[in-house]
Amino acid sequence: MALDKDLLDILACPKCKGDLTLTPEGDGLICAACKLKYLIKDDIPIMLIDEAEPITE
Amino acid sequence: MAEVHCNFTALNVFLLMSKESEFSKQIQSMFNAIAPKYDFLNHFLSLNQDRYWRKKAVRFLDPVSGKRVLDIATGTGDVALEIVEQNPNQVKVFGIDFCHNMLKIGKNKIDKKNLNQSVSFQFGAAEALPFLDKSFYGVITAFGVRNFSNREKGLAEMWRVLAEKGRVVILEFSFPEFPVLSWVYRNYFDTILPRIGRFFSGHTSAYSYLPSSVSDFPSPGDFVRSMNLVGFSNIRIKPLTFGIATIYYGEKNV
Repeated sequence: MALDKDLLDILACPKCKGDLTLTPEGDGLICAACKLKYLIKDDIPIMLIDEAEPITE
Repeated sequence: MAEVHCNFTALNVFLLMSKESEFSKQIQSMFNAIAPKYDFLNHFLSLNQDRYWRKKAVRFLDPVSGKRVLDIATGTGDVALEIVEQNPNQVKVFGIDFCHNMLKIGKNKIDKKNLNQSVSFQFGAAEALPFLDKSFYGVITAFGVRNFSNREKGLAEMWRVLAEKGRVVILEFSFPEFPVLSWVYRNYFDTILPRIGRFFSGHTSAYSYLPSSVSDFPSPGDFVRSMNLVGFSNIRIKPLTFGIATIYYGEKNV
């Protein structure tokens, strides 16, 4: 099941409150400004700054 | 001198942040550990009053049809479910929590009741909500605000994500004011409850933390002042079951 459409409309980066982009694979949400990827597991996005993955490239 | 002052302030901020993050981790680990017995102990230790308290709190929120509602520290999802049950097919509830094991139980409940269209869960912290400004018409938190690592930041986040004319409802434990009742309740809460909690949950400190954290929580008057400072107006207080729990209601009127 894909991520809730209503949720995608209001989700923001918990750190900078900026917009997020869903990865093409649908497995995470990217904050380009903070260079962080918030993973989505079992259709639940993990919007915890401590658990976000830094994007290196 | 300015530089020394600046460094000192930066150090203070760093120490405060480390303390907050340490506290959050302890709370997270505690709730992850007691999650399987959490619902049972809530009902048992409160003689089922917790169901009545949640019902009352949701009535105060009085969600507007078609508008989004946020349940902070949703845990096993009981408040989210109550909102949907009181307003079937009318609201969309977003439940957020930072404890994986609690939310897993909540998700199972929602799946079983086929309510995935009405309730959506996210992992997140109350002090750093992952939502755009003014996303919700109602924000509610039941027995969560006491566990915020930074209460002011949590209240400010509630304010930020609320739309204009939005409502906040905070349900939290308190102590009865009537002296004899207060004495009886304190004996139960401070001495008996931790033992029962320890016995059933197997966790050594979670149910001792409960009375001590309620003791540390500000008085209703002081808490209302904190809500006021953040900007909430038309604040109302409703004591429940002789003051064992209290509902705090506020509005974002700008």
